[in-house]
Amino acid sequence: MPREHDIAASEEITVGKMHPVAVGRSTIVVTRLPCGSIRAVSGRCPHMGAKLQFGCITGMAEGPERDRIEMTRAGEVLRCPWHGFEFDLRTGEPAVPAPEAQAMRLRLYDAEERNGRVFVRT
Amino acid sequence: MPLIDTDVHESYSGVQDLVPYLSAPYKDWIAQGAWRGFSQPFAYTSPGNGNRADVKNVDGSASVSDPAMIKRDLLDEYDVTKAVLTGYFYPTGLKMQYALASAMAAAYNDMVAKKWLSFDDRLVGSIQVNARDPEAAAREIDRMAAHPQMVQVMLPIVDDIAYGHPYYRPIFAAADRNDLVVAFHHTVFAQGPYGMGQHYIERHTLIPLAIQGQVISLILNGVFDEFERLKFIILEGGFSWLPHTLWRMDREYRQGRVEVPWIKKLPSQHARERLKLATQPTEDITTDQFLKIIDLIGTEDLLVFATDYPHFDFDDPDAAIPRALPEGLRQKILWKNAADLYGFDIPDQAARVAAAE
Repeated sequence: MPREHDIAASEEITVGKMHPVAVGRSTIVVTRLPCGSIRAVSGRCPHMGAKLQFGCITGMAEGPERDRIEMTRAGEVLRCPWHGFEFDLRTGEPAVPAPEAQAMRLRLYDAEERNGRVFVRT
Repeated sequence: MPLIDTDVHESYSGVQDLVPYLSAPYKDWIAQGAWRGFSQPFAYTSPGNGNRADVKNVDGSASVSDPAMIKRDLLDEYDVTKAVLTGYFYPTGLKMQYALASAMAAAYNDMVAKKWLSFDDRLVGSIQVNARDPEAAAREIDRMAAHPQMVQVMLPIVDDIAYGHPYYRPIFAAADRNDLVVAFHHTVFAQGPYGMGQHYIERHTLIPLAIQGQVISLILNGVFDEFERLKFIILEGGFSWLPHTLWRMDREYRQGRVEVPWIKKLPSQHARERLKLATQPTEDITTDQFLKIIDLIGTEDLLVFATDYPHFDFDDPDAAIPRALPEGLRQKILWKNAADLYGFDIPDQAARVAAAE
């Protein structure tokens, strides 16, 4: 049976910022996507377990040609604090295909806003 | 079974042989002995001084300047279907006098076309260039690409600016527009990370490291992305090192892609799709070890066979590729992968039998 957690006031969850919340013995990282919706992910990197709250939320680096970097999709990419692996916050998928040895997808949690509060279900 | 040898070193008896193919002023320079060509900065230690000791001209000299030698020792001896001539005269080694180097490359190409490619239609050639003058190299590629037996551009492993540097892009563009493969071969001036070492044995062991540096440079500088059709072959570097290099590049790409986002695929995917490695020298590994490496490389389509005739570390077609490998894999290594790379139209044995019936 999913449990719902009241984790923050809506105005505390902003685009580009990570809001770590303790849920039981785990940490969930909550942020707001540029489209306005709430995104809640497991606080540990699927690669080696780094605490994602120490990483950063950024955009997707695109390279239309050599030595030209364009940052797109600001606020939609999470980078791990250890190795810098990139994850698409819209889908949880890694920006680069996962190695054969392991899955590499962020665990996503259902989240919603009601009455000025943010709720996450685990 | 058909057999494609992707690394066969034709030669000349000396740079004087190029005089008929040179124009002024270099024709006179070479004729008068102003430059006597390259020599290696070390002593060979094999019985044949770098070549198989049994490779001899009728006059007793060792230079493979007579096409009949390759016909006798290789094409006929092993019933080779196609042999890719790769030379061993690399004008890029001249670190100055670029116009002379470019002229020597053109003369050498004309010599190969006239003396070698016309000798036997099993022979195909490599366009030699002076890579230090990339625009001149590109013009030479455009000129020689018209020859139907020229199948690739040869880039010698250099010891300074690796081939991923934008400086060399005109060469890759020329290969691309002429639908040629780009080949890389080690040289007497290639170096490992700490130079050549103190002994020939060190220098020769370091060759794969020099080659790894070039693979890393090409892929991580975006050459595979900028030229999406271009195919690459690396000669005489062996292949057992490749899994590590691919894994390492992939890991680095996962953590550092943001610096080079113009690279659109995992480095290993680029390599598996468009890189070939010639097997020589095969390092005398067991069949099981061979299969494990193929498994780790992740595709059966990457390795191609080479003898490196006439050099001392020759791989015999009948011995170098373990006979206990699955037949389909042996066929891929011994000819099918190379036929795909170069677009050779070679019917396989089953088709030959069917055609004969």
